[in-house]
Amino acid sequence: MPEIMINGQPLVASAGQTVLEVARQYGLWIPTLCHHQGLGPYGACRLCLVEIKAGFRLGLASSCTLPAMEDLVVETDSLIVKNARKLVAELLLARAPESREVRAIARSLGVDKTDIRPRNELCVLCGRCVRACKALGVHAISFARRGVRRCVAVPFDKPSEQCMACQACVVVCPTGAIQATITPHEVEMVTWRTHQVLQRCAICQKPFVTSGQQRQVDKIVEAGHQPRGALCPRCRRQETAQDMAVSS
Amino acid sequence: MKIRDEESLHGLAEAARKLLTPAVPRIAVGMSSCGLAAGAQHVMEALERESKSQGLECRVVGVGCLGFCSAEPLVEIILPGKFRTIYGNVQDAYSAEMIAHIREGRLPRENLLGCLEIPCAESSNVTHEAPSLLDHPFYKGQVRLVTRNLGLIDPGSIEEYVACGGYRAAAKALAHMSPEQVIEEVKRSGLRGRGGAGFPTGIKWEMTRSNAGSAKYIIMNGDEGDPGAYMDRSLMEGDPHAVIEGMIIGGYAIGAQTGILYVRAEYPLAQKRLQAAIDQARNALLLGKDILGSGFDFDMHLVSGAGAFISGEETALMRSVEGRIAEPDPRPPYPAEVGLYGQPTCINNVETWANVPVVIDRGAQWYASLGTEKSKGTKLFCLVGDAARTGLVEVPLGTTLAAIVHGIGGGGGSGLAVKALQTGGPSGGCIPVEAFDLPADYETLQKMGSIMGSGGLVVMSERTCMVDMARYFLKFTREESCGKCTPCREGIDYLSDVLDKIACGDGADVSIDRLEQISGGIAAASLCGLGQTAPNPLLTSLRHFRAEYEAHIKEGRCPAGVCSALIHISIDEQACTGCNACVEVCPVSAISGEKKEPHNLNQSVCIKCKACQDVCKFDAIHVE
Repeated sequence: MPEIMINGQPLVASAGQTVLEVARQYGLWIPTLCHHQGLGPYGACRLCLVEIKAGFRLGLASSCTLPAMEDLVVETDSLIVKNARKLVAELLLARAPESREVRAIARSLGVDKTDIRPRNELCVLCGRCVRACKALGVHAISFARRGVRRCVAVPFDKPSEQCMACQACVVVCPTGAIQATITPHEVEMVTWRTHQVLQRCAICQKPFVTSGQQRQVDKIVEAGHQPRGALCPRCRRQETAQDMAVSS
Repeated sequence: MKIRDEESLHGLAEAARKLLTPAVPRIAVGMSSCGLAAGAQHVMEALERESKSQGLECRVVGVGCLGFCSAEPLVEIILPGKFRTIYGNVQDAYSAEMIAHIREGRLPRENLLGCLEIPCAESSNVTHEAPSLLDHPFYKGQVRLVTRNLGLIDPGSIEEYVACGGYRAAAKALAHMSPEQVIEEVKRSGLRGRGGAGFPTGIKWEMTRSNAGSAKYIIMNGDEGDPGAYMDRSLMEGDPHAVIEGMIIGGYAIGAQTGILYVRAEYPLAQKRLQAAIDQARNALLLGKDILGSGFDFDMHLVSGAGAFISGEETALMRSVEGRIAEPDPRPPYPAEVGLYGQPTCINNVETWANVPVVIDRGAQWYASLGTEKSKGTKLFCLVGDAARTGLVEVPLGTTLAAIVHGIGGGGGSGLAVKALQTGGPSGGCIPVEAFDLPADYETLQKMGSIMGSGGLVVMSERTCMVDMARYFLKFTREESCGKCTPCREGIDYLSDVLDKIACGDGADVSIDRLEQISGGIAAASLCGLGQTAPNPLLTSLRHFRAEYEAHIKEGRCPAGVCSALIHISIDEQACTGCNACVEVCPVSAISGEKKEPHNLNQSVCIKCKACQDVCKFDAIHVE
């Protein structure tokens, strides 16, 4: 178990943990935006910067990607950390001044306004949506272009065939930049220009899954384990319970 | 032709010598991209045509580049029993006269630059009739080690490479040294990465060797993208086998099975010549199973770059090879631990690999005698910009900047005074002429706020505006930032916008302190080397030329007369002779006037391109 030093405090880390994880485990606050517990290290937003004082190349590093290595000494609140985070917050605020999440993070770092001209985007390019889509094995969206023209897009900006309208991207997006519209009949992923018809439960007739999700489930679930019929989770539980009652 | 062991290599080298010490005249034309751009193809065709029509029995070959860019096209003549004689600025119209001279067994006199020894010839056999090329100011002080074969051998001929001692180092390493001994030798040589950061090569190899993996890879980083830098292109186009040999030695030392040559898509000729060289090496059994009878299996293939500057960053490069978007990943883990396809990987720059055969062939001790205490060996620099003589230069590390710029480069061209030097491309910084007595080595350049980088040296004269220079480089990095991390993507874009404002005369409200603060923040907070170094041109020019920024911001004046929004062009009626030269060159017809009468400039039409200033022989065009 590696032992590291954060803000002068010796802390025991578990193998494989990052500095961010260790800090959070011990109740130390480090701001993050692109980090998501379920999506692995990424290191893009640079809000979680910490200062390495010893044990590795000195200077700033993103704590979400920095392994908690034995004898590592870091500061999470030094002047250089504060200044760097402030600059990042200013740049993010200039990019997405309308985002409540960005404004809240900036405020927590003492940044209320910036002289950097606003870009008025909502997307902060944290990549959570892209990584969530990848983690689900769908790969419907990715980054396109580079530099300030970088954006998240579906291939060739054409209605996506891969997107199953599961809305995982909507859930993980910290700024509400991805739009989805749900009607009783379909889910429209406005940002990805795609529609998916909702399937109805064979018993209760309530819509519960998009046809794309159903196809993805069929692909993943092993043969012989597919739920019978197209049942919503509630009806499926009821059916299963009844089966168990009958067989006992 | 198969090279199965040291003995057959030796035999081939003996036999191939006649290619460079020929019985009939050998006429070699520098046919790298630079030469071709200067018209070498026409020169070569004209020489072939003339030799046929004049009935001269000779061999006309295309070779790599001798490096003297401002004297291209370059032609080399080897008459039987004579030295290599080199000619510069050869135009196709001159070919008839050249061939006529050669037919009479004489060397042409015009355009002569000097002569050089043929390395594989027994020197007692050859005579020379011209001064040594090494005494030419452009070559004086150069040590042509890595570039020894450039402009001499045909890059498409493995025989000529072998004739010059090629693959001798690989044979020595594979037959007589253990992998550990090879690594030790490279460590002792003091060789450091030539791609810019200067990490000790031997240590990198040792780390990759010691990490466990189901496979190991070595990669040649040929994604040379700095504006004004073409060291790697010259090597790949002019001596591709040297890189391949270096990688065979490296693969053996590291225990890698596969080598990858990553070459940017914008270098089609380098790709073609490297691919041809790989095929030749494979046919000669220098790649594949049981190389040179050592039991070592190794092969390599070429991967074309993805057209982005960031692909040269090593983690982004590996993603690109894997077929993914070229974006950097944070380190650790380092490529030596988790690299290409998750396996231990060693990435070295083209020039680093090309140094390896030299280190092994001549020995670490000899190699370490060149250079400074911490920076050993030689370094290739591309001397470009406002220098009188420009080109590819190889000097021992630690050579002073003055010796390179004023000595080899001959100072400023067109009588202009040199003001500064940009080293390391967009990641580097500028060094003012007052500091030119500093040695060019990794540590010194870093101390100056610049970097060695891959070796681009852009000479800037009094007619260069430092604001405009920083603006150019930041625009470049803004376009080439991958956009993954916030400081690099948003910050550089902001800096670039502010520099636009300053250059356009709208910078009255700009605070230089704030610019410095944001630049420092971007450098500290960015994910990879691109963002960490991108503010360097701005930071160093602010450090050394702050007054120029202040003149732009406070006085609305561009002291160097470059920023078009801030300059005023006028014609001095006293000095103007009415020669009409400026009238003819003005692209927007803003100048009018009768011959022998002072001309008029219509300010409302003038786009301030300063073409008139360049052609005026009477200093009648004033730029303020």
